[in-house]
Amino acid sequence: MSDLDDFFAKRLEDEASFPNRGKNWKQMSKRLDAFDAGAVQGVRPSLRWWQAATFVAVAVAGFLLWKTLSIQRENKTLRQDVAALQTERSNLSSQLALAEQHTSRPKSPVQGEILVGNNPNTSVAPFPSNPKVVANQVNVTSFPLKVKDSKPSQPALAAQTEKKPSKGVETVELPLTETGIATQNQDLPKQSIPVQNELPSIDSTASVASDLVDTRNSSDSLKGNSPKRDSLLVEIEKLKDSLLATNAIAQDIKPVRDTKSRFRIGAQATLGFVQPKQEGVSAIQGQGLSFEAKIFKAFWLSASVDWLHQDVCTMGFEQKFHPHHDSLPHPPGGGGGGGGGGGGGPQHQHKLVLVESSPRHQQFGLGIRYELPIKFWIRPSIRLAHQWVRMSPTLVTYKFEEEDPWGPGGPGGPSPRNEYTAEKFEAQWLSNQWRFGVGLEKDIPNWTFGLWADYSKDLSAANPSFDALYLRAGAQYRF
Amino acid sequence: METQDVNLDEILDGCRQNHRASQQRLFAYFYNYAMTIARRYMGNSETAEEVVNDAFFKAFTKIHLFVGGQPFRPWLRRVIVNTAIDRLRSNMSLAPETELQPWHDAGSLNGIEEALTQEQIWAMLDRLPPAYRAVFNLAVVDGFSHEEIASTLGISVGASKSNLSRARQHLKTILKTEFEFFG
Repeated sequence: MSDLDDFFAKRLEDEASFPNRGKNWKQMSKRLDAFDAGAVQGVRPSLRWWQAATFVAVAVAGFLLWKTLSIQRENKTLRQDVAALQTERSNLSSQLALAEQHTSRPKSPVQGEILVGNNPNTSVAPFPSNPKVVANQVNVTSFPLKVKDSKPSQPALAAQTEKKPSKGVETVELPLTETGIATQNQDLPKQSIPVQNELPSIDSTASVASDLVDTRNSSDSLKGNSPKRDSLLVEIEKLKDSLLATNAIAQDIKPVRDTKSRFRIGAQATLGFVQPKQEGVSAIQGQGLSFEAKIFKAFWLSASVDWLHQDVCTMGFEQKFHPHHDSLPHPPGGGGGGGGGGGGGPQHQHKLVLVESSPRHQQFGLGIRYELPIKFWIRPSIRLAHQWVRMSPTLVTYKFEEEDPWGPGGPGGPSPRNEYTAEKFEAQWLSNQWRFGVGLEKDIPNWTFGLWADYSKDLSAANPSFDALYLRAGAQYRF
Repeated sequence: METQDVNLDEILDGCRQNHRASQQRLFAYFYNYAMTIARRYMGNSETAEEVVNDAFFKAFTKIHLFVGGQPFRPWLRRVIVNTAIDRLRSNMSLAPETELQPWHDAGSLNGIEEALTQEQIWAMLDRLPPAYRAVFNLAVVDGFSHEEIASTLGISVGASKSNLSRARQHLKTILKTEFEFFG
């Protein structure tokens, strides 16, 4: 670079003083006012709230969809399990009925039966030698089932079981041996059969059923052998008990929804309105998180945190919107505060005409919620909570209007000018704020959706903040 | 970070919240700086004021594009230069008026700094054709490369070099004839 370049680069960088700064600022201010009044809002950072809300909504919707699909898959699996159990129960019922038919039906010897000894009630029924034939007979036979009782209690089961042996075992049928040898049972003892207290498993029930069929193969050993017959009767009773147990199990297995959840966690959107309504104060917007734990019956301990913001543009200074401000703002140049001041001569006086700020605050609530005992498709609740409020650091802008230094009717002086000052306040905590709310909630599996109306009141003695009515809508996951 | 008698971070924070007071303070603080830049590009104070107003309006409405933690002055400078260039491009052609000529050193400038006022220097710059003046400002004062100038002005690199050469020749001629330097 030559000397010429150095010379011009250095001299042209020298910052000179230019006139018309005030005039150009007025033009700029009007231009910005027109811009703000227009529809161009895209550059305002408030858009970020909607972006965050949209993200949360999409995330919640995605989670709900995933949860719904999971529940559907779980339901499908449970239905398959129930169907399998019901099929097994049906098979066992049929087998049991068949066995009962053979054990309890008083009969006289008919064709195909062979008398056993001298007792006409003691006979041996023909029994197919092939177990598959037995299974076929079971499938085509319909029997009344005592086990259809929906939920037999254990004592009832025991009583039912005990009745059977009291009838004796005179009509017990034994499978016929393949050789057709009749067996006489004169020495059968009339003893009660011990009650089985523990319900057998389904697998053991199935094995018992097959064992019952297979007893035909060991009928030879039953001839004149009473312990074997007792054993057979015991097996039959076991089969009955297991069938009842299967029935109970099948009825217990159902896709039960949780109604005993003790915890909830969720998110909510909040819209608040200052009470009483005031000109220039926008609605309070925000979002929050909540957590609840059941402490006793219909009482829940509730904790929440909300991130809120609003725009305040008032014609004068309102202490309740700026609780961290303990004195009136000072006008530029040390003139009369808020329109006061003044002295000898034509001094400039300033009048506060506008206060602007965009306060943001976080509400931390802790309280109790009570579910009203009303049976309806939606559930009403009431709640009371104490809340702590953290006011975020905020910038407050004051607009002062310069009054005519000569006063009304004086000589035409300079036209009134606007002056701006700004103050930045650090974060501050507020407490002793209480909110009372009523709400309606709707439960679906694992989820609760609610609409709430809360009235917040500041009961603090010093620097009370504003009261507000909050509307909240949210969803909570129960676990 | 710039630390002057004003807290620039606080002012910028207020500007982000669209507070007039902060905007007014920023405007007042950088007005002369902005006018100095715009003045040498536009050739007269009236047009420079228009450019400065346009530039500040862009800065206020797009303040969210300024990344905090970085110096604000270069960002504002770029906004002003771009605004000035846009104004020049909309008013006149920036194409080279003559073919490329080799640059000869201007020679000695002893005593020139003391002899010339800033008004005289601006007057010299104002006598340059707008296309030359823009390239000269971008290249010599604002430190743009010829590639950047070509991209900014929408001309070729060769045209940028040509305009810069012509601007230097003009300035040398002015200095020689009117102020009797390089005598």
